Formats: sequence, C-alpha cells, structure tokens
Amino acid sequence: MTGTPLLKCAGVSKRFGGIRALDGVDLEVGEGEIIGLVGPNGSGKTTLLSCIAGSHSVSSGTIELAGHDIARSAPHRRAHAGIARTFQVPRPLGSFTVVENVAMSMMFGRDRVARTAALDRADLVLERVGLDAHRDRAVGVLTLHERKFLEIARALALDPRLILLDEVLGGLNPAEAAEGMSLIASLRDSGVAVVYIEHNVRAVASLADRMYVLDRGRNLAHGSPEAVLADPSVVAAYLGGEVDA
Amino acid sequence: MTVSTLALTQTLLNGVFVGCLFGVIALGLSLKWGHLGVADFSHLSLTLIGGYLTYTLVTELLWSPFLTLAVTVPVFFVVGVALQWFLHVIKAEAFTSLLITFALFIVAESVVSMIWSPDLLSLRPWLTDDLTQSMKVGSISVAPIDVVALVVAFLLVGSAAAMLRYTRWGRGVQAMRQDPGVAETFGVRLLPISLVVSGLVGASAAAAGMVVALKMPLSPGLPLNWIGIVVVASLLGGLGRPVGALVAAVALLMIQNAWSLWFPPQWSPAVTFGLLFLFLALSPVVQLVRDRLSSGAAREALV
Repeated sequence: MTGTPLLKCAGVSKRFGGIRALDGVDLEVGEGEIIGLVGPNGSGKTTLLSCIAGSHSVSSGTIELAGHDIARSAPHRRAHAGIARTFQVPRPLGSFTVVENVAMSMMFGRDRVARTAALDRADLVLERVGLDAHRDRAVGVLTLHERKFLEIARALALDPRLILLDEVLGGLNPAEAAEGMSLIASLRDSGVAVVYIEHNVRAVASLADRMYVLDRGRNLAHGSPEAVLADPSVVAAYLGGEVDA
Repeated sequence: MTVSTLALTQTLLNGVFVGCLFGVIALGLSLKWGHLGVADFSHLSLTLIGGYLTYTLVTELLWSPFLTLAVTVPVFFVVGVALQWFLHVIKAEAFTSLLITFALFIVAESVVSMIWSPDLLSLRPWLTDDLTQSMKVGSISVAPIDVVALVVAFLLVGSAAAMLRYTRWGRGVQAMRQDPGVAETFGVRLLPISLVVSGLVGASAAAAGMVVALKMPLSPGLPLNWIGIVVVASLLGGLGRPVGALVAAVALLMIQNAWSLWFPPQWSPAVTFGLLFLFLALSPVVQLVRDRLSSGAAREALV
C-alpha cells in the first residue's frame, strides 16, 4: 500500500476493567482494499471493529480516517465520515420493515436524504443485495441469510468509504456464503474499502488483498494471504498446526 | 339499580372528555418512558405547575387562558430540555432517572404549596360564559371546556403520532428507542434527538396544564390523584405510542365512570389497577403467541 491509508490504527488498546481486550494493535487499510481480519475467539477482532466504528472508546492509541483523527469522535460522526459496519449477530430495527431499515441509514447518513427519497434509493440497495422481493416485509420473519444481507444493505446505504463486516457469512450454507462472497468482492469494484472478519480463513484469504492476524489482543502477523497462511507463527500459535478449509 | 340510557351515555361521554385530559398527560409520560427510557413522574408536576401558571397569568394579568400558552409552552420546552440534559450530564441510568424525577414529583407539591397556596384555586370565576356554560346536544350536555380538552388531545396526540411516523426526526426517535447503538452507528445523533423529545414533552405539559386549570380547581396534591390512571394508561397504551396512550386513558375513564353508576366510586381505582394486573399477567402469554405466529410465518417463507 502506498500513500496515506484510508484507515490507520496505531497502538490501539482497549481495556474492560482488568481485561486487556486490545493491546497496541496496528492496522492500515488503503482505498478500495479488502483487509481480512482473522484470529481465534477472544482475540479482539470484534472489539477492534467496535473501536473503529466508535461503539467502544479506545483506552489508548490513535485511529485516523484519511489522515483525520477520529479516535474520540462519536459513532454518528464516524458514520457521517464514511464508516459503516455490520453486526456479528444481526441487529435489524424490529418495528421497521426491510426497506425502512435500509432507508434509515440514508436519512441519517452522510447525505441526510429526505424520507421519501431515501425509501426510493433504498430499493436500489435492496436490489443490489437481492432483498428487493422482501422490501415490505417485517424483519422478524427474515431468515438468517436475509438478515445478514440486510446488515450489508444497511451499511451500503450509508454510501461508505469503509465497511466493517463482522462475520457476515457465519451460519450460512455454501450457496448463500458464495453469494455473500460475490457481494463482498463487488464492493471492491465499487471502490469501497472493507475490513472483513470471518472464522473461515480460506474464505477470507480468497477475497482479501491483505490479512491481519490477531491473537489475545495483539498483532500476530500481517501481509498477503499467502504469506500469512504460510507464517509458522500463525499456523502454530493460532491455527494449531493446520489451516482449516 | 336501573340506569337510564341517557345517564349512561352522559357518564360515558364525560369519561371520554376527562380521558382526553389524562390522555394528554399520559402522552408525555409515555413518550419519555418509551423513547428515552425515563419514567418521568415530574411530568405530572410540570403539568400542575402549568395549571398554576395559567391561573396566575389569567387572574393577575387578565390574559386569555389560550394566550398563556405563548409563554408556558416555550418555557416548559426549555425545562424539558434542561431536565434531560441534566440526566445526560450525570449519566443517569433508568433507575436513577426514576428516583430523581420521583423526588422532583414529591418536592414540587411542597413548592407549589409555598408559591401559590395549599388551598383550592379555581379559575372558573374568571372565565367567560362561552367557556363555562354547558351546551345541549339533544339531551346530552357538553361543556365547552370539555371540547377544549378534546381538541387539545387530538391536536397533540395526532401531531406526535404523525411526527413519529412520517418525519425523519420521528424515524430517528424510533430507531433510538429500539436500539440506540445501531441508531448511532448509522448516523442518528442521540443527544439532540433526546433533548428535543424531552422538550416537546415539557411543552405538552404546558398545554395539559392549561386544560387542567380550565377544567378543575387546582390543588398541590392533584398529581397524586392522577398518577395511577396516567401510569396505567401509558402502560396499557404501549409505551411510546401516542394514540395508544390516549385510547387507553379514554377507555379507562369510561370504564371507571360506568363503574361508578353501579358500584361505589371509591372502588374505581381497583378497576384501573385490576386492568393493569391483567395486562401484566397476560402479556407474556400474548408475546408467546406472537412469537409462535411469527416463527410460523418465517418457516412458511422458507418453504
């Protein structure tokens, strides 16, 4: 990566009482780049995403978006600056329909679109993720696959520069996961940068331009997917000797 | 005991009018409780103070009761904003907020007694006949003040419901109520929205206070008489739902009034709280049935 990174995390630490969830983590993301973020359970992946999105404040360290320090910014300011995220367990707004969930991101996002226009533009996003047939349904009746894609649609509706995807393929069957991977790949084509957490390391490696590995809240390795998967420390310390397919 | 159709109709209609007044008060409590998570009992005290301010402006400055809203509405908006700002600054959790607003509720009674009087104060002698003389509609008697209560209730509840449903701001409020974390992540600015909600609730107390001053003699202990019906109406109507609060308040007052035709009126609070008990007891069952139905719908969608 050359030039100023779109996102730069330097020495990010996060403590919850006596527990150090992140300990001096570094991460850089270039424009339109897909970054895979992997690590065992409890390694701090989701905590790092929450720190970038502003759901958690950092205990120390800096987070810069296009050269601007956002480490102390409120979550809504980061959304307006172009950061969108999905949640590991989908969190749709239950009293809104599918299209209203997506339109909400547009109404309060970077462009602050009026309600009627937002509903119209939300249709385009729903079409992109294949949920247009579910436009007026209550979110409570959606399947897990549809809820995960609704998370992506809601993030896309913010017109983001950076999307943080937290296990959007988790729990999906192979056909649904393939559909999801194709969708994530299309984000790169549209110039959006992605930080992508997934347990399936092969899936991440097949999409990512670069990968970061976290272990117990610290950087363990980073580099090209091939280099990371071949890194003995990753294989030994994180994957227990063998990379799962 | 037999009750004539006329007496029953008149009693039920009176229930509608008084229910409208309680519906306006419950609107404020329901909105703050439902959308901000603050069970703000001081809202009832603010309503009472609104009544006393109306009384003072009418009797001392000889203003029209409706003109007093030009002063009380903006002042109470600011009071509502200030209260919410204070709760935000001290990072008050729901229970702390409840304790603080309940303390204000208790303190307000003494403050009102000191500033005005512990005695009954009635605005009625100061009002023109246009407001006090009942009209006959067929055999039914309707007081103009009751019509004022009805209009205020429909205006406030209607505009609150429309704002929540059709405006960007209202969608933000609803998103904040459902999941503040998600709402903020997608750009909703929680603090300004919560301040405005609280301010509007304060402003509604000014309007409710004016109706109180028109409709009944004022005394510092009035909020204690209101609290049961207002809390039950807010809960039965669904917290945060303006129309629900009004419908529940009207229904409760109609039932209470009808009850008093056949049974001793002092038992009527038992009806209110009995309905609340049934609601709370049956809610889990209703929720279970809803969940079953929605999961069934989800399964059908997969087929």
